[in-house]
Amino acid sequence: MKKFLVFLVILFSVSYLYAESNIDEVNLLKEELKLLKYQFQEMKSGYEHKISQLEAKIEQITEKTSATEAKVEQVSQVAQASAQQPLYSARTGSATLKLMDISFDSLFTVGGSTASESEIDKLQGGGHDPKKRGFTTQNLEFSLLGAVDPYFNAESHLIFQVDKDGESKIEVEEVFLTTQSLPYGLQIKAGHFFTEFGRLNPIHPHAWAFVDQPVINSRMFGGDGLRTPGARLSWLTALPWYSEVLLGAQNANGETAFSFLNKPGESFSGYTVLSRKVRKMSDLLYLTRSLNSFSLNDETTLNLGASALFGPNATGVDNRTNIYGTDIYLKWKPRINDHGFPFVASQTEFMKRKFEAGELKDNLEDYGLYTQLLWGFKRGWVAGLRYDFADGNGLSTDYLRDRRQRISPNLTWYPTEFSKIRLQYNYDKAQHIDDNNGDEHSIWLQYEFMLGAHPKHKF
Amino acid sequence: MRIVKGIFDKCIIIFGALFLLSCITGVCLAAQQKLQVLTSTADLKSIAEFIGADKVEVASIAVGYQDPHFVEAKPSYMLKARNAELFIKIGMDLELGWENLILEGARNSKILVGTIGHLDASSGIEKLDVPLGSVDRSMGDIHPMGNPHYWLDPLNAKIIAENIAVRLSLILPQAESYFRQNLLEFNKKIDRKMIEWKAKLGPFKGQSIAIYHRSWTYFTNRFGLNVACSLEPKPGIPPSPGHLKQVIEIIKQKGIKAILMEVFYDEKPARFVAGQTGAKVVIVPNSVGGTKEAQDYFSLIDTIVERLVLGMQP
Repeated sequence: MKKFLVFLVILFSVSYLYAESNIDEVNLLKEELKLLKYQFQEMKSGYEHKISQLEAKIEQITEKTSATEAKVEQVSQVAQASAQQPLYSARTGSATLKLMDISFDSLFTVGGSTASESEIDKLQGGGHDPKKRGFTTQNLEFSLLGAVDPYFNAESHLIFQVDKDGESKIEVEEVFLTTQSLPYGLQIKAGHFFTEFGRLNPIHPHAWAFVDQPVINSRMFGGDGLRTPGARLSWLTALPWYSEVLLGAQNANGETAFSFLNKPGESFSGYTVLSRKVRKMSDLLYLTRSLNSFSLNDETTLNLGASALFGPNATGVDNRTNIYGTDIYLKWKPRINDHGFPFVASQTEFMKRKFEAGELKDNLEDYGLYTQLLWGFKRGWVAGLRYDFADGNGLSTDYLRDRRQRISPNLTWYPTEFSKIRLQYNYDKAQHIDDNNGDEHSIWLQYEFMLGAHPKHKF
Repeated sequence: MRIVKGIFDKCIIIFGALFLLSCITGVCLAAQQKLQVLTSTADLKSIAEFIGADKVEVASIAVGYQDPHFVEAKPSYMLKARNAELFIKIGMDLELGWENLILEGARNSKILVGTIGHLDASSGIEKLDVPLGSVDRSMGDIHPMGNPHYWLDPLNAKIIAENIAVRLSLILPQAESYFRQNLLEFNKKIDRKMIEWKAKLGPFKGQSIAIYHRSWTYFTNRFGLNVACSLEPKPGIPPSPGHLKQVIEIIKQKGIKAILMEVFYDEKPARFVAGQTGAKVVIVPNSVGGTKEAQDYFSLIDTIVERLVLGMQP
């Protein structure tokens, strides 16, 4: 009897445990069933949706068939006409064949100055700066860019300008290719391009944060910036931070190589620019640059750059010019921002030039800096402040080598990324100005509008 | 010539030093066993981590609290892209403003467009809001390929996951069954959660909401909600007083209870409209990491659903 009881107890407990595990299984099955039911419903409603779509389509198609036949004739006529039009990009199937991006950017200024017009010409050293009271057509840039093939991308920027005397000019600003698939972090750029010295020189005028070119850039690189045909090699090193090394070789002649061979017949600080031919390797212009970027945190990035240029100058048979520069860029943008606003960005460039002038290789030394602060305080709104300083061991009457200072506050409104309106005030103080205690006041209103797809700007 | 030689000598020394350092870091990187994946957004990162799990190391360029349209091509992103073996993007022109700059700056031919290392996750997605006829910029920021915010429909996440699984299997064929298994798990989890999300939003089916930017089409479509109006008069164009007046009219007329917007947009216009109408402003992340709660793809949708439910309750 006892044994029987024990047996019963065991039997009960075993069956109880079995039932318990059964309940678990039933629950699991229930959940699976729920999931299956859901999946089935999803599938069903998906198919029903598709079927009704298809039915609607069939109806449409039958309706359209007769209409289509009538239109075939018409369409073939249109097709013939459009085949004669230039093909920039075309829809093929469901993808768009993108041949190139085209853009046209226009930059205009209106304003005035206490300085006379001949004086404004000296104060505004940039080739595309406003140099006249009233209206100025600063820069009309026609850009094309795209992929050439799997190996090269290319950009071309042509500039139309109407100068202060009303004469129209066309300039080849930049036309170059960049390689896409070189190994070891290498990239080659070749063609006609802005020398990547510092931060501002390679940037096109419409992308500047101020109406005009910094004084030191005009003195070192002339009105149009330093750009000539050449090639440069860039290496993105495998260091743990962003570290890029650039080596470039370019022609040293032409009016866009102002501190170098320049244009024969021009005058440089009283020395005549001779015609000097390329006889050896050192008659070209060489660039070295190192750019390092550090993410200080999620919100702040610091770029540090150092550049050097070595080239010939044409005030003597084997005279040389060296230009050295450092640049610092610091940008802060909070984690949560509305279309990139607010932000604070500070940018400073210091440059120094050593120039061997004339037969006796007189040592001309010039240096200067600009430092600017931008504050994007509200979506689309940027307040800016720039300070310019430049000096050299030249005559105080030479407007390209005297001591100069300029303070420029401005305010810019960007309705969208394709347009802007900017108001800027310039306070100029220069040794070469005799009247007004050596200072002048100017005010400029600039506006820009862009059609088409433009290359995106680097950080 | 003497000068050039001098420069040349200096360059050689500097390059030698840099080269040595580079080799060291290169060796360190090579020692990493996992496949390096870079995604454009944090949602893709979350899904790629689910599928790739132990076999991949995933980094994302955009962080969840950023507007994915407006990411700057910072050098640090190029650094991330330099060592990646697979780049995954949302596509449909979402990354138009920065993708090329980063890829070109990274000098990494493995992840260029058209290579096995470049994946457009939108492949196979049923695209919505695809404009008909010709579009131009007077209409604002119109995406000619359609609305790119497709990741906000959880069923589209399955397609993204499958795209990633297929691509990972191509790159690491030996782990194909592993990725397939993870994909099955992911799909199952989505289905499970869908029941939950649908149950929560079910009571509001057919109701209308107001939004800030037209980024909710896929989400509202999936859960049967209607979008009555957006605070932006045109995509990407900031709200104007005249347009807000219209919005207020619509909200009052339709008795709309919630204004849905992302964390990174200006709250002021929405608060103004809310003050005038009594509707609630519902601020949600639209990407993983947009708020603390949105840790991964599932908790992202959890957060959106929960906050929206709270906002739409009477």
